[in-house]
Amino acid sequence: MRYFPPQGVGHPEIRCFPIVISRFSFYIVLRYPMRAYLIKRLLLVIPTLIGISLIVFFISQLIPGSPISMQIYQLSQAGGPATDTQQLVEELRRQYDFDKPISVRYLKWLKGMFTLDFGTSIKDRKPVWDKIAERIPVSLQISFISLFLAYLIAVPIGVFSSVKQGTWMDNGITVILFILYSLPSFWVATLLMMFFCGGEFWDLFPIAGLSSRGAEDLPFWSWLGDRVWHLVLPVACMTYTSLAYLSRYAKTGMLEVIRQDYITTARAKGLSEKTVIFKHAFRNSLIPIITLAALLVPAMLGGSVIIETIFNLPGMGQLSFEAILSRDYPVIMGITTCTAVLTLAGLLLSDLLYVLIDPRISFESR
Amino acid sequence: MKQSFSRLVWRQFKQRRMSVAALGVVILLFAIALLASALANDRPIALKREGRWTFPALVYYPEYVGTDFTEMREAKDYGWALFPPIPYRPTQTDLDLILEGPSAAHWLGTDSTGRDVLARMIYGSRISLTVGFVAVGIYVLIGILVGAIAGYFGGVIDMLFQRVVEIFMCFPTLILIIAVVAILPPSIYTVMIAIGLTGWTGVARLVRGEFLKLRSQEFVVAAEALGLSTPRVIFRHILPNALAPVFVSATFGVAGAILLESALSFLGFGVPPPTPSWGEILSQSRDYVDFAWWLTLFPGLAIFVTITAYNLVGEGLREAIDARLKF
Repeated sequence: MRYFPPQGVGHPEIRCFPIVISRFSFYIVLRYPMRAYLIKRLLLVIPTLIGISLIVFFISQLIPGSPISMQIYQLSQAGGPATDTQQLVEELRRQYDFDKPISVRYLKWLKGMFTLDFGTSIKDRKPVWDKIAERIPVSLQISFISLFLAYLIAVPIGVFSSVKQGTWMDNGITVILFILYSLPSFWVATLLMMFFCGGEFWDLFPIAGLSSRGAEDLPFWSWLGDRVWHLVLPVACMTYTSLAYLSRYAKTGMLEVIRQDYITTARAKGLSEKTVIFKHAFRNSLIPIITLAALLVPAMLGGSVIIETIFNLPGMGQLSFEAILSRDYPVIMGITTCTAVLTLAGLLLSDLLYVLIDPRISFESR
Repeated sequence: MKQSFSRLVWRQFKQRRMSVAALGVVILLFAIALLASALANDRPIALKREGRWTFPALVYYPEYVGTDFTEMREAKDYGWALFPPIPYRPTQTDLDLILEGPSAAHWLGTDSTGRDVLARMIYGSRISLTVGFVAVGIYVLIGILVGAIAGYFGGVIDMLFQRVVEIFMCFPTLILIIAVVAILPPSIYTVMIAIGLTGWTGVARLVRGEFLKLRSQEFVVAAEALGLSTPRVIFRHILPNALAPVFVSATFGVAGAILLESALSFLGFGVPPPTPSWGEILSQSRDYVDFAWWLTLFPGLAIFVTITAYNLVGEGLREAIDARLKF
């Protein structure tokens, strides 16, 4: 990550957001490089979206087990009255638009995507969107807590070890973070489960699930206590993985800033080290790590397949794992589309945040 | 000054003791994977019988097809034989010794069908290494090709490339890989291909960046002015100068691919049984998580040590190459 010197694009530009697209012209490109960049960035989302939708659509057309054969299979399993199969196939073909050209089907499918209609699950005939909507809060609470904790610990660690660079404390932190970075989360999760969840060793935490049986009837504080008790291990596992990653990021960000000329200037002015670090360096070092948060939002909603499967938490990760296990293609496609679109939004948001937070960026190179 | 680049990098690399030690671990793991059949086998490495030397652990002898070497070893019914340190095959079951903890006979215990955990781990290292290297090989090749073309030609091609990378980044990697593995027939190659096909975007972006930097340098302009063909300029003149960061990223990539393979096997989407793999032993341990600590601890430790070793080597390489760039 390199910081560019001011390029004459000053702060007033930030206030110009939101942009009026009708003024998109060479005039803007020359006169307002930032506005031009933002417009370009927004417009470039369109081909990516189309690409995502095309890929998901074609995969959904290619995968074995079309809705027709599924229906016929289910009818034959149900032992319904013997009907003319040929006629039934024709009827179903018409119902699912298989008699129309592929472009018509694609457009219809696209319309379904926009109205959050991802079809129904093969397993329990529930609408896919309902299943997803029911799982998102679970994943969201786990990942939000763990990401919050990770940021809370990672940012001070990053500042600390970059200020104390080269000392034994910095080296120790680096080694610990390196170990955390290389520890496979599924191994740690299984070990924690083995040693802390009953069995032959300590019985400190529940082995699985989100709350105890009948927890809904408890008064609020006991319910909350129960929930926290259930979330300790999964949150710990998810926190340490993001912690290892984030603090490395925070440290490199800080080191990158400390190397800059304006920090040397601040020191040469005779400012106290505290002022230099916290007023001049710290804020600037936060830019990359804040924009990173936007990229992590979709992952937060998507949940962790591994952790949710191990601890049997009914979140998005577990839903996608179960869907793949039972070849529940509508659910897989629904989740993939949602995650892909959210990630795209995250990418866009992070790019925009980067430009909006840091006015020194050169737009010609982007 | 030939080879000066690699020699400079090596000189820098040597100064980081941790990374050198990690390189030693990597070499050791390679040795274990190569010598697996001589390290863990029910057949003797060397056997002298009726005046004839044979090497049943290493070479196939038709006359030994029906021979039960375990019985022979236990009855000491042989002239002279050198047995491997772990006298079990990875698929050799012993239903009398199910889920036994570590002991003198089975150093790291046995699993739910009485197979020796250490023997399975030794053979599992083969899976980890091949998956790691082949998967990374696949995606480095794709990444270099795509990144080089995008970075060299720029313009519309580059714009198109960036869209494709963006699309790939938008799909959740683990779900994508699991879906590919679930659709294709289960085998070790499927895992390699799935990891290889989904991982190339990072390398491609790296190569593209390097190409954008090198594109306008004098030696490229000179090569073009000499009328060399475009592929020659790209692959013979620019690419060698862009490879150093790719090499570093590939080292980290091997660690990542090994982790992914074990995670896939752990979730039941990896290498099909009875092929031993570290993740597969770990996934077995989930059923006995209340007491069978040896099934969890040792394979996980193997994964952890391997990943740490590759990451440390990668760190060392990166520092060494960065130091070289400062001169």
